[in-house]
Amino acid sequence: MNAENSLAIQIENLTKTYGKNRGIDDVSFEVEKGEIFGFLGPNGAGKSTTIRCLLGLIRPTGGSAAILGSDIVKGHRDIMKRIGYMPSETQFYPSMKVSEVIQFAADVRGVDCREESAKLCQRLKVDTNKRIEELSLGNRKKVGIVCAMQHKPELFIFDEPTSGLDPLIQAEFFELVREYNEQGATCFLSSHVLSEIRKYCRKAAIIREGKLIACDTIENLAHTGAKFIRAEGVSDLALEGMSKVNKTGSGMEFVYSGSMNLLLKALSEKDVKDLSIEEPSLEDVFMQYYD
Amino acid sequence: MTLYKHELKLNRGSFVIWLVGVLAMSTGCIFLFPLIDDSMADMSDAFASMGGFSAAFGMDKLPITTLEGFFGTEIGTIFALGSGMYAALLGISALSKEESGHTAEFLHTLTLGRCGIVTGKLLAILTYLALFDLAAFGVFAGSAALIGETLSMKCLVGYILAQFAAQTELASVCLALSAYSKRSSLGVGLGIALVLYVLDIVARITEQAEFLKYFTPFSYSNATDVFVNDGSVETVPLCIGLCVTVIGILTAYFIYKKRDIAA
Repeated sequence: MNAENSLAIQIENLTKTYGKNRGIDDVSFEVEKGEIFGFLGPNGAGKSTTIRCLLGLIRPTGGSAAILGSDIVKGHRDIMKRIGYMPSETQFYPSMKVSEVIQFAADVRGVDCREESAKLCQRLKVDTNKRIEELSLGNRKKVGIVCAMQHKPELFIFDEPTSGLDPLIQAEFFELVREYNEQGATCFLSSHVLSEIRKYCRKAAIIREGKLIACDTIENLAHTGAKFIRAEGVSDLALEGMSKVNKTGSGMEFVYSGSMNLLLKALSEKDVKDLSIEEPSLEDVFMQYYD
Repeated sequence: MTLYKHELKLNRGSFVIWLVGVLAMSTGCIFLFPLIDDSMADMSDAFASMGGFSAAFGMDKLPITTLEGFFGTEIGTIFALGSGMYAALLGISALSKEESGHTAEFLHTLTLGRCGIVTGKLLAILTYLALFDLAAFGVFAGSAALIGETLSMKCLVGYILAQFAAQTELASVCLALSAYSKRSSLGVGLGIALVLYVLDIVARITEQAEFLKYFTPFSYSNATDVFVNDGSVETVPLCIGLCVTVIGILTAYFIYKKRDIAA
């Protein structure tokens, strides 16, 4: 298998601008087939813009991208046959019944999904007799999950899939993702929930203000060389490389990514009562990417 | 085909409401005719000699005391305006409603493609307009028979076909606007229908403004003209209308294929 055939998503210098407004700028990364890949970033960073470019909803102003080997512009319909997408704000036709929406999605695809959709509805506890207008956001999202999964696509693209879902359904959703992944499907998971990415993804890309700032395994992303410092008896330390500074009653704690010699020299001039230097939590590491 | 059926289903309610509303108003006038034809006989000459007002409603061409005259001047106007507004609404909301209703992401990430979406919606619009006109034809012919009056079948068929062409023109222009707009601009659709109707009236009142008849579908589909001309339609405005229809549809495809779709 050559390198291109092993890629589910291949993005090269993808750029989208809205007039003078920023969308995404020169974004490049790859997602290998069979992976559960995280796409992290704060709100407004460009996650949805990247996904909407990939899905052909908006046209990139620069660069290119391919999904499952097909160009996102030329191969749009072929790509849509092979993927399942759930948007962050799932909305369907209000007057339709849940069962009608699920059937409509299957009919358009020309696939008999009755068995799979029945299984998904049962596991996600979807009431198929209700009308869409009667559903809460969480229940609409569950319908969105069924529509994205029922045709057993090769690639799932989920944009903040768990917002609005209760913890039990969240767990069931990730269990389903794991099962489809074991059967060979790739999952591209956009989220700003770090714990989800840490728990389910092996690799992740991080986007901030429209630019890709990191793309690596979770393990490598977490090891940035930064340390979590807690210094008792110190209250006025200010050095380059300090972030997430928190002054406690008896001292201060912060994440430090600067020179350790400089830190120790600065601390030696203070009246340090106690000092601890630890690996920072994953949340603290990722917050450094966001800041 | 799936989207076509889906569109027919979603638009069924509004179709029934508009059909019943427009036909109730226009057919009501047919049943009113036997009650007022005697009293109108005295006023017929007066109606026919009111200058621009008579010309605007075609009362200078057909005697209002016959059902065909009454149909051409009154009922035809009500039906043309009502069905024209319905056609405009169908067109203007067809594509933009997906974005204003936030269902665009769902629809566009199925396997339809942009052209498939326009085609499915266009076919549903044409189907509903054809059903609208077919129902109107049956109701007009049936109610005329019920009151013991005759309407020339040739003229009625000509009128209904002209109406279909005019409605399709309005719908296609509005479909092109709908392809461009992210919002369901129902007011714009109604406005277009009303402005084009007024253009036809102005074109009929003054000779200086007669050229306006080439810019509005209400000119070639005017009931009085069709009934006076034994069911035939003025060719040049009709051909212009057909060209506008084709351009409107092609523009809708062209714009919708390229445009960014809002979330």
